[in-house]
Amino acid sequence: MKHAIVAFVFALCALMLSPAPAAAQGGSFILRVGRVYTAAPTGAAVFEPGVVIVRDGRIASVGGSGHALPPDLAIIDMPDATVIPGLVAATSNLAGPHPGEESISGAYHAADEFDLFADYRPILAGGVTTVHLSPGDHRLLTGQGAVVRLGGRADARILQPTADLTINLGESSFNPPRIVDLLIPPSPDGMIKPSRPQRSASRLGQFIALKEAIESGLKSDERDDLDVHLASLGRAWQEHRPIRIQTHRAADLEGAIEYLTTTQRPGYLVGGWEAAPVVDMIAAANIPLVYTIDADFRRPGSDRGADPSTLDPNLADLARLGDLRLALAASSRASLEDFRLTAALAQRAGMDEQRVLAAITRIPAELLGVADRVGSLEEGKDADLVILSGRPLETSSHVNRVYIRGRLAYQRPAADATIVRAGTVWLGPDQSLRDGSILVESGRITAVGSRVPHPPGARVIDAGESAFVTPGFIDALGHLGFDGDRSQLPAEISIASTLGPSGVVEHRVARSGVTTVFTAPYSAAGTGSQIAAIKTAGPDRASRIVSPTAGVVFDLSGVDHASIEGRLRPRLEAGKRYLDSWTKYYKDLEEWEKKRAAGEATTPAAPAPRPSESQQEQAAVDPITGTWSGRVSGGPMPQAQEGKVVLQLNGTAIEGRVVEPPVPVGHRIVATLTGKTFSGRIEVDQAGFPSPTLEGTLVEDDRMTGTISVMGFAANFEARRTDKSAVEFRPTVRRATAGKDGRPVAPKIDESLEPIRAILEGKAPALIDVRTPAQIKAVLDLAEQWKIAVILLNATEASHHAARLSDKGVGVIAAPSVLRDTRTGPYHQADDLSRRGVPIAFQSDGEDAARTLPTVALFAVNQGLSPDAALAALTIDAATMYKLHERIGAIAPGRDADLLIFSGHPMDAESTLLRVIVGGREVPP
Amino acid sequence: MRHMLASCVIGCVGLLAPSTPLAAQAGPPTKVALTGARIITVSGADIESGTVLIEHGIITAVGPDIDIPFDATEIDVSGKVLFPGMIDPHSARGLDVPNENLPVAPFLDVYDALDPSRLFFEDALRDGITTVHVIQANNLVIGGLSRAVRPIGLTVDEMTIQPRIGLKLATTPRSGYDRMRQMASLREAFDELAHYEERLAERKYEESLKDKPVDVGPAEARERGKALVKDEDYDDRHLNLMRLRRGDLAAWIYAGRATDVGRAIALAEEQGFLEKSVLVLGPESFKAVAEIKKSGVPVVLDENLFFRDRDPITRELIEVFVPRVMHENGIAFALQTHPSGSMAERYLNYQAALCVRNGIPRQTALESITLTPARMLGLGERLGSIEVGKAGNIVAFSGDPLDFNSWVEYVYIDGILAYDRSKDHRLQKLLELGRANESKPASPEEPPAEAAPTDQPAPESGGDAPAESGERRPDRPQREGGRP
Repeated sequence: MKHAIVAFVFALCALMLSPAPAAAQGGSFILRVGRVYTAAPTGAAVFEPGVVIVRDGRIASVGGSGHALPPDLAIIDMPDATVIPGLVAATSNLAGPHPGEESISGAYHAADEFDLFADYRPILAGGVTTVHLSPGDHRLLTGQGAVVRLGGRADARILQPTADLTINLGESSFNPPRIVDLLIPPSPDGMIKPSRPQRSASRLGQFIALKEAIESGLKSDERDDLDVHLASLGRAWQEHRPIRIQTHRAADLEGAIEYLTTTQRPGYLVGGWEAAPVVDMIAAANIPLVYTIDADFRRPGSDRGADPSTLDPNLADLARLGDLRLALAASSRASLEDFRLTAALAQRAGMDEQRVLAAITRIPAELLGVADRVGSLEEGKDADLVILSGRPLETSSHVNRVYIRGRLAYQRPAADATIVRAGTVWLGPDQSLRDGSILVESGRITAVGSRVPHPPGARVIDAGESAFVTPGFIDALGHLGFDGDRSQLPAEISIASTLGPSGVVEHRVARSGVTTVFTAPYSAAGTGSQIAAIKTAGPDRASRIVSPTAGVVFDLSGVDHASIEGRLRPRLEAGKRYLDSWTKYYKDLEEWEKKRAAGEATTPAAPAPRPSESQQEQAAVDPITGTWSGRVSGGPMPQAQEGKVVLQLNGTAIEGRVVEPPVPVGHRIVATLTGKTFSGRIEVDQAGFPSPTLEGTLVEDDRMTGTISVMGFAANFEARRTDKSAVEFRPTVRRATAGKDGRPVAPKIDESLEPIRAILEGKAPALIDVRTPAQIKAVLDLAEQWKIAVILLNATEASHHAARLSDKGVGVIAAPSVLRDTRTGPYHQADDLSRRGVPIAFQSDGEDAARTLPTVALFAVNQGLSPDAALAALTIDAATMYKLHERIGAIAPGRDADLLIFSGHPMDAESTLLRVIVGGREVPP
Repeated sequence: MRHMLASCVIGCVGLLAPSTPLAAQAGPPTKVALTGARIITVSGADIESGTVLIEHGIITAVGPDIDIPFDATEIDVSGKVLFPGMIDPHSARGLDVPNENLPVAPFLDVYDALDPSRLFFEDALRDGITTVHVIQANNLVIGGLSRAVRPIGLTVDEMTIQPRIGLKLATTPRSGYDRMRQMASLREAFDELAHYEERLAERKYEESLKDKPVDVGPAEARERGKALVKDEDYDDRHLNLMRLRRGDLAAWIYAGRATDVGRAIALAEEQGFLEKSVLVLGPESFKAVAEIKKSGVPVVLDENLFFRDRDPITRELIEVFVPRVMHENGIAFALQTHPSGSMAERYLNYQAALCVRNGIPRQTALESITLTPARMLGLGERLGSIEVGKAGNIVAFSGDPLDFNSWVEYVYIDGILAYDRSKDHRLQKLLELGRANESKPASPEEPPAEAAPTDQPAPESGGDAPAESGERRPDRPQREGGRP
């Protein structure tokens, strides 16, 4: 109870320390990540780890690990994430083609087509934040392009309303429709004119048509009738709008270069599937090229056919464009959502990561005229940031967050998945995986290998080349959670039911690398005490329990070897009878169900005599019978609890029930009255629930005080009788040999025998503290006779029976101290037994002393134990002894995700424990 | 189309003639006193039991104790609730076609296409609507002149309350257009007007010189000629656009999507008619609420008052009650009716009741079907409430107007009894038919529809249905990935 409160306070502190999401919304924050790709033309290209400081939606500075952090900003810490600038798509299908007929027009503005309020998160999820809008590729001069942003406030979404004049050369724009000029309103004075043809129909005509149209547009002021299409073209031309020429054919590319050179206009080429033959010409003219990669991931492509004139883009051509100023874009068919993957294909043509990244961020931003705002992570630019789970061009990387002007514009819904990558993954003695990955989903390991699936949204912990991952360490016997309580606990008490969320003490142990502790009372009861396997970190009881009854510990170290059998046999025999009653029940039940399924009439058993719990009306008023209201306070209770019980006196026997607060399980108060005092307990019909004991005194008429204690805690109670009328109890437990329809009735659960039953069923071992060879022999004989699993605790003289232990696979939990002085010198028990094939495990015999277990193991290695044997003792061997190797102690699919990431082999003195993951959750430092 | 254009000139002449007030030419009593009813004035406090006195079509007294002139016809409407005649702020249903094929046609006038015999007007009257703003539908770039009419009268002139209220424009693309072409067409129209005005001014200056040679350059000539241009010098294509820019006409701009709102406001601001603008919105347009609020422009809401969408990532349903957004941001809004006649949304009082149910104060909801649209039409001094000096347009409900059990019992337009439910034969037939169907389940030999032709509003399908099909709905949200 006490540590539960501490744990709560601790959790609260942790919450306050972690960055509040609201702070990140404000547009000012510090981003601390694993890697920063700046895409800047000068300075460092990558900071690893890196820091991006964002202030009022702009990048204030970018730097490495030593970068000074302003104290006034919230820190967003994502040690595994990679930050890149928002990608800039120089082509898109978000606008156009416009439905106008005009072959040449400056009046169509692609910016008009942009939906300022649309939700573009599906595209942002691909990492693209800035997009070029084209008025279309179906006319010679389709209009004016625009550059927009796909998120943020509506009024700030358009970066460049008139970014370029878009020209399309080649077949796509040949033979435009004829134009009909209607006379509106019609009048007899006007004639209906025939429709007017438009240029161009050939390569020759396209430049003449452009020249004429521009000249006409420039002189439109002198004409009587206004042609807005040419007039707006004239204005755009005068304003020196960049020229964007979209074409693929080598011939058209040549023409485009010629056109840009002779008109001396700034401009760039888009498309370029046949650019390779004219690469020298493009380079000589120093004209940038946006190469569109033809890739469509979502469905198979279209047929190209046998026509030799069909364009056949070949990604390998990209290698021949090496020296050009190159931006990359996706061909118009591809979805913008896949832009990052499309660009990553350029690596096949030999472009390196840095060059590809620049070609989809900084260079297109420069070409589109928005490089002063976006395209790289440099001081003063807008904080359009994309946060990835891994390297920017890796297939398995995913965009997890997108910030636009420092505001969160997209966040991938968190997947309950983590991927741990490391140079070495330890799978067992002499068995490890180089460059391995571990996929963790919902707290369990689901895949281990050199390449594991990467679910989108998964967190990727890339621990690096030298990192070494092991299963979480196991303390084979400790007392974590007992808080110094040294009282003996009888066998029926389950320790697991007293657990809460992990607290400070547990956290200390977890951070040392010990993720599971087999915890037992300091001193075992004669009938044995239960052992619970618990995790050292977890938000609640359910997540912390590995096994509520992992074993039973008997302390027989002081018992003469001849008496050992006599001490254990009665328990085992009682357990056997109990087990048999259950075996019979299950057998009967199976038969009964078979019969019922067969439709056989089941004979109703004769009604069993019910134990009548109803009481005769008691005429005389006794000092107990009636309703009592009171409160329980003190001891472990954080606050007083009001309550109400009804009691009934029958001779000297008191029986009762708790009325308030309502108790969800069956229970009864059983006590005996002697004079003015009474004593008894509350029996609870719930497996593993301890029965609180009661001691009380009637201090005056209708008033009682006393103590209620459970598991070493005690609280005071006092109560007053509010009603003296007798209450009839409805029997809560009805026992009969058979139910109404002949269904067999289950035996009564005996909490004290349940653990013995688990041992006899082979589900849990018996831990026996023995020292001398004779004691060990007696235990082993008994185990063989009863066919039960045992673990020898301490067993300082186990080496005498090493061969038998090794043969039978009986494990030994080594004595807490590594070396023991003997007449022949220091004796290294763990090393000795391990070499002789006996499974060993380490114990802390303490609470948070478990934190030193890794150091103890290190010393054991220092004194001769093999490092892998030490690791096995801390992990898989301990788990196997307890028969929990299917859950803990190994890195394999299906096991709990308890992982330790070390900087090197854990048994190297210089290795540090970098990260601890318990049940899939990282334990914060 | 040709008929419309041909009658354009005649129509214009007709416009100039002052429309005769119905009250003056009709035989019915010139003074009417409606007594004993609860009066919801909208402009002031409700009167629990009072009298409305209408003289020559104008309300001359409202209150609990009114001296009724000896020559006034006293009509006892006790037990009824008097409510101002409701105003449909935006309807193309009085027209034979809602839109022309021509995208830019400011020279049109709804006068030429208004059909007084349409059953829509009869329905409007039955539903308590006394003023309909007849305006072209949304499928256009620039439309023609609109007008406010009463739902009674044998000719358009008789019906007319106010001609030439405004022009219809749209920033949401008409069918076959995209936003690029829509905006290019809008810009073209106004650029062309400016170009035309310059040439006109230049010509007028040259004409003013008589035979003298032109002494100045074209720019100077245009400047000097400006003052010489008169309205009649404009041709039909440019006249109404010029009036719009000068502020003589209102601009009713359809912005069916949020992204169209900013462009509509920018256009109005650029061309100087923002003060005289009204935005006609689609369900999604509310997202641009900040821009609407900043511009101060009143809005007509889509007949579908709920906006529903799905989150593109989580697929969660998003539902917004649009009037609430407008109300919370202090934007004046008017409600319109659903164009398909079978829905509850065809009733303005239902639309207002829906607002109240979803958290709009009752007063605001009542104003949104009376005073607010009256002000939008520039008729705030004449219509929209029961107060002295306003037209005697009064609806007598059998109960509260926002109670859907209430019937419209009487409708007075300019003090004349225009509708009386007890004499509404079509309604009675319809109700009888309903009762007959209730008691006798329809047999296959005798489908109930056969009895309908003369009684149900079904004949409208012959008249209004094409109009409805031509009505443009705001385009669907685009796929984020763009077009295939």
